[in-house]
Amino acid sequence: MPERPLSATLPATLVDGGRRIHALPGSGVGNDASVDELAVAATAGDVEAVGRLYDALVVPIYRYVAMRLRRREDAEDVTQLVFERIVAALPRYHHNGKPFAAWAFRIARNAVIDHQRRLRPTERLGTIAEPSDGVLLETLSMREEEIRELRAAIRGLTPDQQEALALRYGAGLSAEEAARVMGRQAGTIRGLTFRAIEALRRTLAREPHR
Amino acid sequence: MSLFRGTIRPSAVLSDEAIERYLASIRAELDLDPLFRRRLRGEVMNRYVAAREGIGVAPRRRVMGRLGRAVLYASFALAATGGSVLAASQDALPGELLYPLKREVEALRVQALPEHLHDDLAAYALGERIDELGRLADLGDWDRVAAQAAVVEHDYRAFVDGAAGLDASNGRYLTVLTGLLDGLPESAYAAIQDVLAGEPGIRNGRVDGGGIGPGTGTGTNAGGAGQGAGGSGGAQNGNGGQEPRSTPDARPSRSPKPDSTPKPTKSPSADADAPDDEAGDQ
Repeated sequence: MPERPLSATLPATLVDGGRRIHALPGSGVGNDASVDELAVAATAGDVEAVGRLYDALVVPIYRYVAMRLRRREDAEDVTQLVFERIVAALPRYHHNGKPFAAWAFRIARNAVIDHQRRLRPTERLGTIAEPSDGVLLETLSMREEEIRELRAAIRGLTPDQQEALALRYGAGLSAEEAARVMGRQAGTIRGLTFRAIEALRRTLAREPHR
Repeated sequence: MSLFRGTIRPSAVLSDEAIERYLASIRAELDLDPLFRRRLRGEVMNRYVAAREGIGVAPRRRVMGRLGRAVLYASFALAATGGSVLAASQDALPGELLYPLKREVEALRVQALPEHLHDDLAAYALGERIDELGRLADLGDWDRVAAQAAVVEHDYRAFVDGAAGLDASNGRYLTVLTGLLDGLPESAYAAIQDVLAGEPGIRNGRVDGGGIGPGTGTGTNAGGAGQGAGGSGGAQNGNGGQEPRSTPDARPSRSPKPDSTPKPTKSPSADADAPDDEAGDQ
């Protein structure tokens, strides 16, 4: 069977005159554009704005995800999924005055929760054994033991406390920003953070030094 | 229970401020691999362009085995790889029906983006080749692994030639590929060794023979673009990267598959607008 021409296999908008396609427009936003301005430009088809949006969000989102998950490869997978979802949802995004970053972090939060739900049936209760394969976050650290202790202690916190810590200390969000992501009041986030730190202090005080 | 519990750790460590410093230090530990970051950037750009041009892009979630993952991670060491996920035929592997279409879409996508973003896309394409290599390794298809390794090597050289400062971690890439040698059958062993030796003739001979050209090459690949089964339904092929499609041409019989367990489908529930609420905190 002869090969089908490309024009028959791709949407007509992509193919122009056989092999030429329309170049996308350059960025219309300034260098000092805010995340929200970039988001608006991205929804309008500005491809460079998408790249800059990614640059602005990828590190805090990754840190948030990595703090919630245990393995680097899981964190990378989920981060990738988060950006897949953001790009897919961009056409539906309408800026209504609320920060775009909060919207993006809510997507990240959902992705983390989805991931944890999928993992849960296969995890054994009470085990903190680390998987034999994959690169653990801790193994990259010079302060391996302390960080392992701390991460184990964090896993003993309530889900909301973990969430608050990851948003505040992982992503570096303010209490107000974290509150938008979690759908709570800023005071609630401060309370969660305070109680989480208190619980960590108690846990680490009980922990025998190895 | 330890008799020493609570007495060894310096008290300063136990203050709230110290805990906060610990937490802050964790944040510093969570550095994003710069190579992963760039790879993902390429993927995001590609997805955006694909969506904008009306090409359906299905989420590609695949679970890779340890070996494939190791190979994939080598892509990070390769410096600046591009990610994954094209529109139609996004999950096709070399030698499969839709693979030439996948390569063609990649080339078209390059034309769609401004020129100064082409480096990202080149990195993206390289990452794709390496991702394919990892998946073939997971399938234990060592003949195609060998051919694909040559493609990766070729594309990597081309990429490094075209971009400055990307050769720093070449050593890790070679280490991982060398590690593959342990699990190879005889037929693939020689091919991989040749690739690692960097013989130009091997690239032109074996790879061309294996039908996996480094260019965009519609219809030049094994597996026969000429079968025409892909059509515009590449994005809806439903394969999801979980099972290799049958190839109409005769390929060499496959070697034993040391790591060819079926891969479960990851199907993210992509309802971004309806976040779940966790149970109450306390």
